[in-house]
Amino acid sequence: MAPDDASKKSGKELANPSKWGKREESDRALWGECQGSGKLPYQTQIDLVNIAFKCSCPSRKFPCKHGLGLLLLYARDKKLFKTATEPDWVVAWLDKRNEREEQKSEKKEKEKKADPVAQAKRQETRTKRVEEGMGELRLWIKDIVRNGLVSIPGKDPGYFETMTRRMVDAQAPGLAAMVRTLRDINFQDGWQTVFLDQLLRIYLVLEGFPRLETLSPALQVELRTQVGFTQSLDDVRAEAGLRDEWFVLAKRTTREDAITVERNWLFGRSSQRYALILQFYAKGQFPEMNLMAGSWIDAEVSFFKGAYPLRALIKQYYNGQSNNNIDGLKNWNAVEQVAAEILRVNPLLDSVPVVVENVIPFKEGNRWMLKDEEGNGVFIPSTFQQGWQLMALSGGAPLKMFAMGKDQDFEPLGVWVNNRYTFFS
Amino acid sequence: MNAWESIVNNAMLGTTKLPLRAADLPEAITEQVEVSDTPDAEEDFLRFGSLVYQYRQSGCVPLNLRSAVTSAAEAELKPYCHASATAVLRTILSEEHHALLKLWLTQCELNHRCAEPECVPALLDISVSKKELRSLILSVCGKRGEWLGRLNPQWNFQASEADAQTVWQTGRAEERKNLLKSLRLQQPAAALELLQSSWDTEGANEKVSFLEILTTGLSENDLAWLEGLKEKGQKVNNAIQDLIKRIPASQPVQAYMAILKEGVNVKNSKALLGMLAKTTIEVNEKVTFPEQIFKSGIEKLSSDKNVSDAQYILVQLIASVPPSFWNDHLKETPEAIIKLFQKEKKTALYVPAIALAATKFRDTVWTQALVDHGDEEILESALVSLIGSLPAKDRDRYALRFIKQKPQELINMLTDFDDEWSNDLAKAVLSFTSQEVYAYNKTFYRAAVKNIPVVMLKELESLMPSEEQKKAYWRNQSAELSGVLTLKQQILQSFAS
Repeated sequence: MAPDDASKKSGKELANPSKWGKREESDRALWGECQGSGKLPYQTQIDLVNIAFKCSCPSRKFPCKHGLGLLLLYARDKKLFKTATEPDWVVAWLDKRNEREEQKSEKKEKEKKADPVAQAKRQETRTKRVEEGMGELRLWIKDIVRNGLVSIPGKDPGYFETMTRRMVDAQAPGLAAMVRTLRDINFQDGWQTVFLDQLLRIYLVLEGFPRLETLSPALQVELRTQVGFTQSLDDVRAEAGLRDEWFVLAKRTTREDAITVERNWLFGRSSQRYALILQFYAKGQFPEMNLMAGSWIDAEVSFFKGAYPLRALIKQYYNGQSNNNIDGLKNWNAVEQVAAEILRVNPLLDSVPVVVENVIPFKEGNRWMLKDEEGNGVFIPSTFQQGWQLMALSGGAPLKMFAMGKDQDFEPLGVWVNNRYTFFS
Repeated sequence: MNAWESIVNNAMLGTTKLPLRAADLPEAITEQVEVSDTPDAEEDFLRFGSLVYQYRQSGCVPLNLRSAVTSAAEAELKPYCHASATAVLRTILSEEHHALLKLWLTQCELNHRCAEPECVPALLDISVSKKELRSLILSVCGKRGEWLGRLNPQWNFQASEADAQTVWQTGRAEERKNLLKSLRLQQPAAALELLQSSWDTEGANEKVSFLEILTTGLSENDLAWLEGLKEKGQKVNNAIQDLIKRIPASQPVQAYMAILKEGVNVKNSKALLGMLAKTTIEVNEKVTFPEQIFKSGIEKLSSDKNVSDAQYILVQLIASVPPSFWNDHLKETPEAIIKLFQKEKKTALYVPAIALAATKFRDTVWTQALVDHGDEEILESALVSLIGSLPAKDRDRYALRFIKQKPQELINMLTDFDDEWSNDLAKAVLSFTSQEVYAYNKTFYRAAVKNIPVVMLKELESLMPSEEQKKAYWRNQSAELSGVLTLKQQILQSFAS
């Protein structure tokens, strides 16, 4: 979450108890006083419910090194912080934050809906463009099939870029992203299946979209989403939420053109549901939320509609703290059954999130694998770089693991060792 | 071949070469396939393929790995280090603070702890390239490291060490040198034996580099073999002679001592009409120099017109005998002997040779005496090497005394060692380097952090250079130094807690 390397480094230096005159915490916040170059110490505070920072230092960076240092110190050793009543400056800030959140939601409610007639006309025009684009995309994948995949690894990235741009022009950003995925495939062992899977997913969308009316409402939404018709955040927020204690399983960031895409995977303790929280931000901007892998949050989330809803947004944070255990599926057979059911409902998913108990990582030849206690297992994709770290964490003993994948390929994203969670970024 | 593999094969070749037919599909789904009236091979492939894709992912079973053999690491004998120590280690590894890594490893070892498993692979990776840290790393990586070493050939150092003979016989030059070096450090006799086993088959360059390694742990035990060597090449012979001449009991050194005994003595005479006793060193330049000393590397002719050939030969002989020889021969203390030599110009010229001998034979008593009582000439020519040959505590004390006279040379020498400086020395060094902002940059402070005590954190602000244009540089450099010193402090605190 550091804005740059210098802040990260300075933050680490400030993660030192001797730098802080005061270190205190409450249920919802963390605060401290750090002596800077000024006469008075800087007052640094962190909202623990919905991670946010405030500091009285003059830095224009956000979060500043004091905020980072204080949070890092707290993460390293909570015992260094005394539970205390929130001082006025902390109460004032937290109250103001809550007030702002409420005002924001009120303002959005007041916003007028667009003219329905004009909206319908725009939709009609867009659908026409999308259908034209789909026609071209169908010809493009048929060309690939006709000529064979054998020449694909030698293709110039421009080959995929042109079609990606065409899909953007056709107002089908979802399809554009699907084509871009083809470009980004790593041509290592087994790439043929990965490529063909994606090609066939595109084909399923092209086939399904003209037949929308014959499909279930959930699958209709799914297909529209795959094409790139977005669901309004306000509409999603308006849906009934699901309050649960959520464990943040993984946080992965990727750069897509000039945008950073952050994928946070959550797992609800009571609901046993997975939720994918996406955040998008440009260079120099910061994500709205700071979710930390390995931590629990008490929150109400709303899911985007779909055949098997996974993408969600956080509607509301609560103060509840949790440190519960997550029960995983007992073996790979159970995983395959669950995955088959999910893929039956949504055949377009490229991977399925699972927590599975008692798996042992090992290496045979050049391949990393995960074996359960019954002797069944899966491959770890060759793109996974932390095989030896996983091995070191396991020590050859069974682990509980969060993994994403399907068929016989699952990539570890995090493991529990002695009830401590380590994630692979 | 299963249905999916067949689809992939078709896809690879393309429908032009190998069209996919409904008959190729698995029996279970052939009923679902509608045969089109208008043949379109690509459309058929995509239709059939997407069906098999869904068929495959709806009924996938895991791999059968029952025959796969796995192993488990043994339980650790030492407890893991504290979470705060792991956090600091993560920073050290991610920011590549090599100077601090050694400190972390040493602290971990001293406190009988081992590194958390998550850090073990990164540490083992470092141990591949940084051989000097390998034994420390292997120790703090504990049983988990041993187990990973058995699984990953790159980290399997035990196997390579166990098979030292193979490395010696078939290894690359660098591997063989490293093997001999580490063996010489631990078992000098075994190292000599290893070298003897292949000596006759080695090339001249290898022989020279192996002989250099024997300097460590050199003793009388090596003498018989060294003296018995018959080599043709000049380079190898020189290296052999150099080693022999480092052993006081060797024939050449004994021969040099015999000449010096005859040629250099104390002379007691009277001065001021016999009222005062005068003691000086008398050098007999007419002493006979046996021909054999010239075969052992002593040069006959002086190239300096102010130094006679005899003086030049004597200088070489003095530089080649242990300084303790003078105590026995002249029956005086080092201090008195140095003063006697320095009393007259004609004998003072031999003092630098004694300084060379003190460094060569690592005689700390004489080294200290030379630094304490040596004249300006000695301090100018040999001060840094003399101080550098002292043990850490004395080195620190003497460096502090002379830091203002030879700051750059002393700082260069001091940073070659890992020992932490005393507060006074550190302050003196930083007082100099903070003024020389162009010569001492961030890289210097990252490397020197091992020497600088943590208490210097409090002093950094007071070290601001007086010249305005240097202030910004120092702010930058002191921020870097403050950062690495804070990390050092965190290492020490995390192991103290």
